[in-house]
Amino acid sequence: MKITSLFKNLSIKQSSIWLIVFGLGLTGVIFLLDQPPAPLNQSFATETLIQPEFDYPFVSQVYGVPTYTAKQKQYRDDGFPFSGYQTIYTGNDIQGEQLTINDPTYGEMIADYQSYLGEPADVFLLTAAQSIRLTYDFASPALSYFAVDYYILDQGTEDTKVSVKVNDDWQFYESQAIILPSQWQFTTEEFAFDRYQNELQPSSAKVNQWQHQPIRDMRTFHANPFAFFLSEGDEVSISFVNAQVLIGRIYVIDPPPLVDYETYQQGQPNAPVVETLKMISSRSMVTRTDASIRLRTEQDASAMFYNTQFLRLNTIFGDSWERGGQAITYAVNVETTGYYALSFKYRQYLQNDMITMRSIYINGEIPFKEFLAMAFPYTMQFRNRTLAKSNGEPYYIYLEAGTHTITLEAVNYAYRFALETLQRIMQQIQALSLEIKRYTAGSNDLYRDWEIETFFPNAKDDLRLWADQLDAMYEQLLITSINQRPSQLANVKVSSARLRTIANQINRLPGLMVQFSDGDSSVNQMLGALLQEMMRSSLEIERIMVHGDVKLPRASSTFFVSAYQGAARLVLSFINNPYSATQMNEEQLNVWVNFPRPFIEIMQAMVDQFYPGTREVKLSQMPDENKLILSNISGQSPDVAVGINHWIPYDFAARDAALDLRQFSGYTEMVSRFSKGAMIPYIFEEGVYGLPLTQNFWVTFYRRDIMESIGVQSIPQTWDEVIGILPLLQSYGLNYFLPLSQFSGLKPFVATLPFIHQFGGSLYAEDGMSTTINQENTLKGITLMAELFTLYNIPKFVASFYNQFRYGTLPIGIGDLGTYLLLSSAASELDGLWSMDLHPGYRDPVTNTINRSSATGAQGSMILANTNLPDDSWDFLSWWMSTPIQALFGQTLQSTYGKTYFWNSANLDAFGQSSMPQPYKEVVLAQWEYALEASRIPGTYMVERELSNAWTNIVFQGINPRQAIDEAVRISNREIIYKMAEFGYTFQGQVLKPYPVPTLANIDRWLTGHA
Amino acid sequence: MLNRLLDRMNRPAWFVFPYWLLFTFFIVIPVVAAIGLSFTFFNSIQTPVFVGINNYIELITLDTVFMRYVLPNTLRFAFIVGPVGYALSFIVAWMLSHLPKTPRTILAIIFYSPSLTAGVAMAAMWRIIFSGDAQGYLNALLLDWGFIVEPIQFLQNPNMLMTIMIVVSLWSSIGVGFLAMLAGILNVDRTLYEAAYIDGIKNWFQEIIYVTIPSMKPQMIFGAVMAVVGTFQAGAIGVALSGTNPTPNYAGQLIVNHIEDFGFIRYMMGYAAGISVILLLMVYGISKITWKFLGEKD
Repeated sequence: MKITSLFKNLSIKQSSIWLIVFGLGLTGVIFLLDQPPAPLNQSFATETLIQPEFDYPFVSQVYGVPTYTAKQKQYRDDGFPFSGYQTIYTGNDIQGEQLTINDPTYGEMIADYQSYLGEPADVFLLTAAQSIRLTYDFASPALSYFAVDYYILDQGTEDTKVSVKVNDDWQFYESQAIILPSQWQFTTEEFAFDRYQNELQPSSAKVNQWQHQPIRDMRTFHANPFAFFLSEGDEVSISFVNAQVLIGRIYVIDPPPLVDYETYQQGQPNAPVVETLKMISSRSMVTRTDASIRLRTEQDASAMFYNTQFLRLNTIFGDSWERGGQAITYAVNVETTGYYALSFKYRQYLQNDMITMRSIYINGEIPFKEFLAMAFPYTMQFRNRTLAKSNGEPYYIYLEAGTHTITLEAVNYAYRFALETLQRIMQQIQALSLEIKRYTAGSNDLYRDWEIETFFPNAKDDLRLWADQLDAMYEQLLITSINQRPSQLANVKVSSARLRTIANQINRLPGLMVQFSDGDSSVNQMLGALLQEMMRSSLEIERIMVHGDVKLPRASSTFFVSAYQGAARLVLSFINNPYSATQMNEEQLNVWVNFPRPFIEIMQAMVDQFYPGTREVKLSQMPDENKLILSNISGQSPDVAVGINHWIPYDFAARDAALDLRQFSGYTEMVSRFSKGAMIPYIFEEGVYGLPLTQNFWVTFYRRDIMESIGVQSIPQTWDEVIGILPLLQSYGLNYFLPLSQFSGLKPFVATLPFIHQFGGSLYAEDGMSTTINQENTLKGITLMAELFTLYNIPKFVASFYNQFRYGTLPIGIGDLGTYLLLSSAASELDGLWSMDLHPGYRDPVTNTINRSSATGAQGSMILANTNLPDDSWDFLSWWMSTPIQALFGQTLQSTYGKTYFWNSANLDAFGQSSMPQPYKEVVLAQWEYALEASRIPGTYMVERELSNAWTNIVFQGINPRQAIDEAVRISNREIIYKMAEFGYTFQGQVLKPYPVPTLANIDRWLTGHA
Repeated sequence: MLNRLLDRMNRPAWFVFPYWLLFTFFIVIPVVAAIGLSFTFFNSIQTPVFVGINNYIELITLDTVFMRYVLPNTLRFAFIVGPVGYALSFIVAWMLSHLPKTPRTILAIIFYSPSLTAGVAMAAMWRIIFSGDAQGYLNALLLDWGFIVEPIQFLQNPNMLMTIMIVVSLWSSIGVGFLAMLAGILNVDRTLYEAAYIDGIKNWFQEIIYVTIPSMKPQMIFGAVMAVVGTFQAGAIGVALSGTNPTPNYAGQLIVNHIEDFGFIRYMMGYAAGISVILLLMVYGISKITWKFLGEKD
């Protein structure tokens, strides 16, 4: 009662005073609590896990070739000695394509090599045609390490790989692809600003230089170089994998073991610890081994580079620096000779409660054993970490006055055994699951009794063994955790418990497949997800500090500073909004681009730098394609639209809202760069109203491991072959995927068209006044399209092919670019386990050729009819679509943002230069030979719709295909005649003149400029 | 002249002025514009061309989809979801009115919330439930229990789509009409019931018929009009469930979908405006009929 009366009697003045006092008190308390986070001093005794002898009784196999871990174990078990042999192979010791100093292309590089070595030397070119071979000449059979001098020729973002064979055979799995690292450098020291004063990450170029590299594991599972077991006379060969490379000398090496820190310190017992503090921003990197490593902006005022209003790049982006072997090199200049400690302001947000590791190299060498794998424990905030012993005393490194390099290399050494255990258990689960599915024919009926115990007597014990192995792994991994219950590993416990539960009721396993091997939360998937995460050695650093015994600056700004900066940014965010489409200037060429922001930034930078035209080009982000129509009505439309869906230009053209491109000079040459089939959707009457920008592809994706283990020998090339493997697939409860099942309502042309074109059918009659989907050939295609579902039982709806492909339940199917990008970037647990092949087609019995026609439509560009700058627009568009610019755009995107930013240019030459791995690129380019899009005529939508309805009628209503198609034809024809009237081709149901239908046969008519 | 008009205008009329303004801008002008556009051919990019009542003639004589699928679908949908939803609203409101205040408020919010969550957001949930692969909730349960051996295509199969649309719509049909009815029931004078029992009614059913409903007629009418109008204007549900416009075999095609089809897919805005005028007339007519049945007779 008293308290309420207190409030009642408060006057306004009193209450505001109280409010102020309360507020001040609160901020005071916050200030007191807001101490900088304590530095993480915990150290992690990972040495035991790193030793190659760290043993576990089970090692994995991939495709029958043993892994290096298995090989090493065999070496130890059999007591193979190390040779200790050191020699250099050069000149006549090596057989291969030898180059001379007078070589027009490579002469300069050879001269480089000679000045690098300081003496004359021989250089060999490694090509697909000729590998490089030498004969090993040490007397007694023993293990040897190798190293090579090499010079990377390829300038792309893919790593250059070679493979190493002994007597034409791989000794272990990893030797099939050994990465020769490249060094990338920013092309400029000064970071350029975009026109809105935000910093742009400069693009990078490879440093063209000779490098020396032991043949080692670049996935960084193994700390030592690879040991090969060789006898005298064995032939060792280095062969081509994905790029040509120059090879100089080949060495047999015997690296001395790393010393420990005590020994290292005794080298300079009297040197002092220098009292200084040198800070190097993470952006001042000298080189990095992968162009994907990129910078981001950390909006915190304590960063070395920071601006309240504009973005400054100041931190390595963790997601881009997470693959083993990726290294960054920094330089530091010290004035005084002596001992220095190393600290990093870092954040490691990925391995929850666990560590990621970095090898620390000083001047290219790891100074002592402890730096082989320095741990960076989990933290969500930026913190300072000084590399220190377990007692908290820093490791001091000895630096003489002058410049030194510090290299940080992402490594996985301590996680090797865990990763291999996970991989192996997953393989065995997959194998057992396939076996059981063969026995049950994929049935998951819970109420049926199975005799699993009789037919798979080992299954129960196996499951228990795997559970024990998982538990043992968990215990071992606690060394790398900051607590005793790492949340990252929670699923290991869940999995082992689940395996034991299943083992106890093993006869019910067929009904428990969802928990065991299939589906989102199965043991297999949980382990797969963990495997994928543990392979990511992510780390963000903001700065490197080389210092003596001094106090380090705070790792984050104080509460007041961040509150003020946050408020200031909020206010400024209303002012600074680049790429907005609302401000337009008549004098500029206004281009609306339908890309995400990072793409536009690169595009704008390229326009500013390379566009030779005189007109200023302003790019704006298109918020929504429908806005183009609205802007057209209100007269606010841009001059050029880039990145719109490929069916939009037709709709605009039919309403006089787009410009015919055939009138411009250089048109013929421009369109010769695209697939002919890809031009079809842009044709309206006699004109061509758009250009393809990107191009999609639909090809077969398949799981090599599963196909192999169920015995599918060859990937189906025709529909008959697809039908041929279906019984085998389905006997395992697996199935095939068709894009038809990914669209739940209307089945668009993308899904239905292959079945029409492959069988030689076409959508419309030549005069465009009727549809011809009731032709005999087409009917055959449509019947197949329905029978695949009704007769052959392909799943009618699949929410995500990618997921089911990963689970292994749909191990083969037809996917597009999106599937490719997901598989190549997100599914690292499937690396090397999947592949691509051409779209299945129809084999013509007469010519015995396979027609594999498939859709390719993606994005396009057009010039709007309202433009007052038609020539400038065309000039810009033809510059943008030119081969060098498209190729450069693709390269810059990837060298700036990493491999996942893949650019599938419709310009075929530019695509040929893209970074997609060669075998896949060949598949895609071969598939594009069959590229074909639906011709568009007035009323096309009705044909698309009726095709879909016909399919629905056949599949769901059981209507006879002939009948369903006849109905579709009747409705479509009516609509075509009706719609043609709008364009003056028909009048009151009477045809006045034919409508020109573009097809592959007559497309050439449109591919030249107007006479 | 203007001055005199303003002078003569009753001062309190200014209080109505904001309403006039809003009503003109948001109701009158769009309706007039739609009626105007319905007499033109308008491809949404070029200037509209006047074509007289051509659009209406085509709608009645040429548009087989409209006559064969859209109109029957809409009527079927409206006449099931409207009355059943209305009855459901009343029953739930009546039951809730018997509860004490706190649980009543909480339950009212729970019953009302499905109609608040926009149709699309909620269809996302129903799409997972009815998803056509073995991972869809309903399919997974049925498979688990052994009722079926392979997933049912709830959303692709034209025979099922309409039923599912109706189920989902009923689930969310307890809307603003329900709130009005709840308020109405709670406002009924208690003494009337006592009087009625003295007059000889015997059970709660008679209570409802002779006391509750007659005492809350305004709320009943409001609820009925809202239910009927709402169901005629519904359209998002079928498209959201099946994922595309048009729905497979037009199985879930309602008038609103048909308007969107013509307006945004076929670029025939004039025709779409024509259909929307028809829809307007239908809604107006139905609400008139509703008034006739339920309205005050005075």
